[in-house]
Amino acid sequence: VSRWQRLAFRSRQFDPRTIPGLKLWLNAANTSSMTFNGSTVSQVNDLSGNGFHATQATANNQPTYQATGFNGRPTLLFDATDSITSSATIADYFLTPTTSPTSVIVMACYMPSLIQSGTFIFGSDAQANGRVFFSSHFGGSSLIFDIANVTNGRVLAGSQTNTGWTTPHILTAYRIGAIMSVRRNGVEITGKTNASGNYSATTAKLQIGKCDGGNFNQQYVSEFVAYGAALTATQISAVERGLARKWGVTL
Amino acid sequence: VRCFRTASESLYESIRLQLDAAWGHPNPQTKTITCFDPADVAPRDNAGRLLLAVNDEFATWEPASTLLPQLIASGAVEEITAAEYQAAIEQPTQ
Repeated sequence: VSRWQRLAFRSRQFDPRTIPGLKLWLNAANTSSMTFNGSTVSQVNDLSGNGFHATQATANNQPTYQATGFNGRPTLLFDATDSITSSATIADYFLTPTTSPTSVIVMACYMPSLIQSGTFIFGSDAQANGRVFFSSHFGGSSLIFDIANVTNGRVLAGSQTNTGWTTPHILTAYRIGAIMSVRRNGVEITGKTNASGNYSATTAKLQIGKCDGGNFNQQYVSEFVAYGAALTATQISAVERGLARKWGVTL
Repeated sequence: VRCFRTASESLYESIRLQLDAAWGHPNPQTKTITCFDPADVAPRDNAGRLLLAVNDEFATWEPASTLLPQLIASGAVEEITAAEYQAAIEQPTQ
């Protein structure tokens, strides 16, 4: 292998499709995959090939494109009313949601300031149709990640006041059967190994930004991937490292 | 979002510990130390009053949903707007 080939390999950007089970892939760096409405974005196309595009028809609720807002790279700024909704439902981005919910979500994101009032990152568009709920600051500085709206399908973590949240980072949240984890830059913040609770309704769509039942402040999101697969620890780490390299984040 | 303010550190800590007991904190499994920030690290306004902002849903979980109306009715805890909360935490401390 020549030096040129090694350099070419190193510079190649991570493609989430190389990890099996990809259901949804949104990437703010791919401007041709987005529909612009002036400086805001009304649609972000799903690059996974599954066609689960994310849209926001209301101009005032559309995220704002910023070409250099994430470590000098492109990003979408979601303010207090902004959201985009993918056509992917729980049935789409979870494996076996009614018997052993399994989904791995990894995103490049950060919030501009630590406002301790329920900063919401992603969740369901209608909780009654199946709840996914992630709030980085739920009560004071407590984090919550909730799958299926049951106590045993929920993890929390208190005292999330450090600056890791306000620095561009790679956030991972997954439930793989009985295992739940929330990681920032590859380090677990909270998790459990005895999660239980399954979905009875699976038609809720995935929303990023202001979601049903959640409060929201501001959030930058540059890339969002969801796998409906029981990824191995090695695969999860590969996705995290791939996104980290792409977005200038040090794990 | 719902935002609250109280001048009583002891009351604040009492509520926090009651909720912790009801919700099983500290929880080594979920790594949740407490349900909201302890008074010594919680945000305060310039008058030294403790400030707390929670997601709407937080206040619907028992026993918070029972305690809150009582605390507000007693006057010991005030519910403030998100704008008031924001303005208070952005004021430079004296």
